[in-house]
Amino acid sequence: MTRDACALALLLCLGFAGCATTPHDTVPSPAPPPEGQPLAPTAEPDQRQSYPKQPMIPSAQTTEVDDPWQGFNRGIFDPAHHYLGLKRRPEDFGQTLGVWGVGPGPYLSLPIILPRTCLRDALAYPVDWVLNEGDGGVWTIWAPWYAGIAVGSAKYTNRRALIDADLIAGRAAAVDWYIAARDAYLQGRERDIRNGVDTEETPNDELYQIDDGNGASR
Amino acid sequence: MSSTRSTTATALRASFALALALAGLAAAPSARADGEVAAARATMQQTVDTTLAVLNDKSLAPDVRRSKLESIAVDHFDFPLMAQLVLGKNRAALSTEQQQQFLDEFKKHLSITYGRTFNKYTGAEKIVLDGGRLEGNKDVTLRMNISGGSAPPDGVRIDYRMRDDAGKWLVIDVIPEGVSLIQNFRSQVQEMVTQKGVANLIQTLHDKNVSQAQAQAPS
Repeated sequence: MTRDACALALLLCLGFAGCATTPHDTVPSPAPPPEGQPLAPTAEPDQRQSYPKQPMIPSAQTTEVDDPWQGFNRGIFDPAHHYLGLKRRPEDFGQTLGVWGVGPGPYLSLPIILPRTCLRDALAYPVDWVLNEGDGGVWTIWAPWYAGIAVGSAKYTNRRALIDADLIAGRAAAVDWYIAARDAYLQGRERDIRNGVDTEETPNDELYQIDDGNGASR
Repeated sequence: MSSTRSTTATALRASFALALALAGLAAAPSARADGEVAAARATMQQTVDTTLAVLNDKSLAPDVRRSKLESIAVDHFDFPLMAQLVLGKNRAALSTEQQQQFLDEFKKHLSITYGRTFNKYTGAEKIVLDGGRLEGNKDVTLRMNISGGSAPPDGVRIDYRMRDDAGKWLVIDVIPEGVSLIQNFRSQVQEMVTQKGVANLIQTLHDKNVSQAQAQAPS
């Protein structure tokens, strides 16, 4: 009985894993340009209003699922996206810890798990590894342990290849690449934790004050 | 009785007038904010249109195009202020001459580095200015979304922070996907000045510009 209940719970978890989870997901992504049609270089804004609380969706690593049954690999179906237009947004345990007030901690430059390189995210990484089936997590219950490592390695190799051009451009743009990468990473993670939504604390007005070096600013 | 009714009517009219006045006071800052955001938007829209006109003009030679784009950037970016913001409190450690050197190299660095991103432009990009916000210090932040063409599949979001300089709105920071250029450069400058000194910072920037210019020069 307990075993059946666990199996049912696991199935439900897998089934709803792809569902959008937060009320922030209310802005649809920009519609792709129609094929074969010339595009206007600029477009009029839909509305001329301020956006202090306008939710924005981080674009990286977002998966589109247009059919409620297409999301089998990341959840059996995704009615929230299909019927309500809510967009899937990747979250990880490091973001969860950040929302709950855990600071980033020291920056770590690890060669294999490149992007998750502050202490908070590095500590959260094993949780994501176990829970994300794409990293070889839950489904490896039924598969050899090394299958998960193979899938994860392929995934990171692919990601590294995809951002190769960006890394070269970043190195060229930076005066000190290590510091530039660290700062961009930390800023990006803060944005992820805010789910891309600007708050009253961001952006920081103090950054835009001219400091004369004597403690006074204008 | 009539006197009482008249007094009541007068009080009601006075209350109504007071309420209107208060509503007007409350609405005034909002209207002013809208005006500033609209002015900044108009400037940015004009900059985008001018830039796209240059990029879409296929008759221009690459070096002419680059020079036109540079002049647009000089007109619409407040490079001296950006350099000061990047230096932050380290500005006091630089002599006037060093500050000027840094400004020159910084401007050249941005011009070379970010001018190169225009090479990716395909003409199929859709650029939309989505909104604007008046910041606490009267700056305006505008949000631009770019999709299609060379943009990533989900598009890219770039915020521009602008400041009114004697009636002219100038860009003082570029924030792609939430990563502030000023903040990023300030971190680098802070670390370099602390570890290696001001002279080394300017020399590194200079060397970087020379090597990049050589790499970009037509062979």
